Amino acid sequence: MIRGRVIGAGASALVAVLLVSGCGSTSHAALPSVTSTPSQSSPLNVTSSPTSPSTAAGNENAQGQIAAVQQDVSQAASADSQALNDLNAAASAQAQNDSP
Amino acid sequence: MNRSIRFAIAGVAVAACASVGLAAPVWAAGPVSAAVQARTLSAIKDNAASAISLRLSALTTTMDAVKTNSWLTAADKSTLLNTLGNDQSGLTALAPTIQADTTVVQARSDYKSIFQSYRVFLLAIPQARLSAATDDITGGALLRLTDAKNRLTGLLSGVDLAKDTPAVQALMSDLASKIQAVTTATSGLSASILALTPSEFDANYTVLATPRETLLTSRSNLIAARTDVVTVIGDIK
Repeated sequence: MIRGRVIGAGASALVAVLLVSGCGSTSHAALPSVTSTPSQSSPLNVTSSPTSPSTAAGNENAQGQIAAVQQDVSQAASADSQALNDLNAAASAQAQNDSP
Repeated sequence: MNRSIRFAIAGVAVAACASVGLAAPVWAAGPVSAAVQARTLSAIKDNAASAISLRLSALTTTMDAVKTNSWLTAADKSTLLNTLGNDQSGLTALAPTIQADTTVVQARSDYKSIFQSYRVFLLAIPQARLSAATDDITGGALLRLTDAKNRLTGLLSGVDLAKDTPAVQALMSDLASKIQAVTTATSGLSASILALTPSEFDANYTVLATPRETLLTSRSNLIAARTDVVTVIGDIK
């Protein structure tokens, strides 16, 4: 049971690290930026980032994949927490007197 | 042990009386014995009522936990609720039977059955919880981490190919190894736990020890696998 609690604490810390480390950031989202530059010769000078459309689409897909993986990690942690709860409940029951 | 000692002392006293030709002790006379019997019977009934109430309450708590567990498979949930429900029904029916017992011998026999026929604390509840923990692991953590592994594999062989460094490869290899270990260890585990009966438990009191160790080891492997996934995400971002 002590071991389980230590593991549980580790799991909580892991989730905390996940959140603190900003795993939810969107650095994969190298979306094309649109900037307007005031220019007399060209009233509306629109420039795009060097990222090609196909690369941008790939990055958007990668961003979605990373988000899905993060969701997987979160759900795995939740299921693990439930498993720990069930294991501890089993141990508590077995610790009770069950003899006449 | 104390009870054995008391019986032994009483036996010696009776034997001593007989050997010296004395009459039976006064406290063994009929009317006193009947009073003792009545008190004993009453005590057994009180203890039985308390023991049954405690078990019915624990069974209700466990059934509620089973009902609300979102990782349990429908089949396992059904089996567990059926098993726990049968225990509830049996104990509920046993309560008035014991209260109606008229002899100490019968009451003692029925009282023993509260424990030996159901093994609520030593088997039924641990059985339910360990089965649930197995499904938490296989249907929850293992499934999600397998999905994570597949997605990361796709990224590392595609858009993030340049980030598939030896360090990342080592993490992915460890992740695959951990997932495989848990998959193998938990294969058929829930079914084997659910199949256990009170008589099987009585034949081997440690019958749940191995499944429990398997689940603890599997948890450790999945926690390590989660760490692998988080580290890989950090490396390829």
